[in-house]
Amino acid sequence: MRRLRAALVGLAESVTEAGRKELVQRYLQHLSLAVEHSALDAEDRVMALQEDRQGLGLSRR
Amino acid sequence: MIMRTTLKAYPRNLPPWSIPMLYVGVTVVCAFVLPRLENEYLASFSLSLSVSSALAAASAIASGMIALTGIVFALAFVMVQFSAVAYSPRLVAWFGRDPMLFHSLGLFTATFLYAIAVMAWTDRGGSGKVPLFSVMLVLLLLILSMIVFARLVNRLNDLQIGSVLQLIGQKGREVIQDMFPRLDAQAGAKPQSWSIAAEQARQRPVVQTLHYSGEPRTIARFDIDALVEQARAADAVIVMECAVGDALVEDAVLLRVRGGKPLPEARLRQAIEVARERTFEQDPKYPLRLLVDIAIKALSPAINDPTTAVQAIDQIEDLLRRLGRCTLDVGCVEDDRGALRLVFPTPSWGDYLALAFDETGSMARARCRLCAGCARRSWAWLNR
Repeated sequence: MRRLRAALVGLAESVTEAGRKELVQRYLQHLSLAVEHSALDAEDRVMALQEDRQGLGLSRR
Repeated sequence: MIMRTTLKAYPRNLPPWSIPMLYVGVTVVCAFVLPRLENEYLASFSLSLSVSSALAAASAIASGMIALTGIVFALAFVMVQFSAVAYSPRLVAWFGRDPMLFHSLGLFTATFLYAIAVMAWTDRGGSGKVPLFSVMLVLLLLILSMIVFARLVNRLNDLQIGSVLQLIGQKGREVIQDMFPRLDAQAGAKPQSWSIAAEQARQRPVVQTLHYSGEPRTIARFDIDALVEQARAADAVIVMECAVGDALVEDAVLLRVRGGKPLPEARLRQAIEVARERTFEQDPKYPLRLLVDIAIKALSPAINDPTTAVQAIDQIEDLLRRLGRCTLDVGCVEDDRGALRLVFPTPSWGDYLALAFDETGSMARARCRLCAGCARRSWAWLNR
């Protein structure tokens, strides 16, 4: 989840066309909604919403 | 404006089994010709080795090569099978077709055959001579076989997951570079979308519909130039109803010819190459598909290998970033005079995103609780 978020955020920054950026943002929103609607507790949600290029290793945001 | 695609026409390779056959054929010819020439013109050169020693050496080389060949290929195929089952069954065929395997099989067999020939020409007719150049040739083949063996062992290291992912990613990068022009390199008006062009072509009457007939197969590639040329000759537009990578079943519609006159069916079929498995050629979805397969398998509770999933997503992200900077709608091809001749479906940006993230996202969400729980416990342990 965290690695996927990092990939999508990187992708959103990388693409230049507005239509493509919007599609990536939609996937990011979907990812966030999945975390919000999950059975995770508050602390787990904060963790799951972080970007992490190593999966569980180096969270930056 | 309609853009012309720059799809490469890849040379068709020989079937892999023909490589060792070629080695065998050349060696048999050499085994019949070279010792005779040596006996005829270079009979004065002889190896200062006893006949029995020379025969024993050649016999050891011949029997050793056959034993080595058996062991090497048994181990190689077990490793390929094991690795492919662990990552993706599609990789068995890919690694199994590696030319290195077939070249090594050919060289090992050539060494075996020529060693037998040397045995036949040692002490020929009770001469008591050992042919110098033939023995040297066997030794040379033996050394070459050992070099190839070492390279083959090194090649088997490529079956490690990091190398496999890198190889799939590299194939993806190559096909993206071949197929798609960069957005910033594109001059002039935006290219026409294949879907709009197909819609416009529907206004022309259908003069021919080509159906597939045969066992289920997958479209491996289109011969773009041949299709465009045929359409130009008939003043028609060919609209492909299937894409590279699609599975073909009995009576599936392959294409429709719109406008102009009907085209020779055999030539149209020749321009659509089918295969048992999907190939990387003209199919940028395939490397993504393989990477997603590996990622979701790694994320499944049965395998539980998140590091492999992260490595696969690294490659997926790289491919998507490259695709994101390219013009993806390359399915309209015009002839030299600028007339639309061929329309074929190509995936959109949304298709690539869905392929890359729908299944991986679904598996990642299933793992979400476990991962977050692990992380929290790790932080608690670190901060205590």
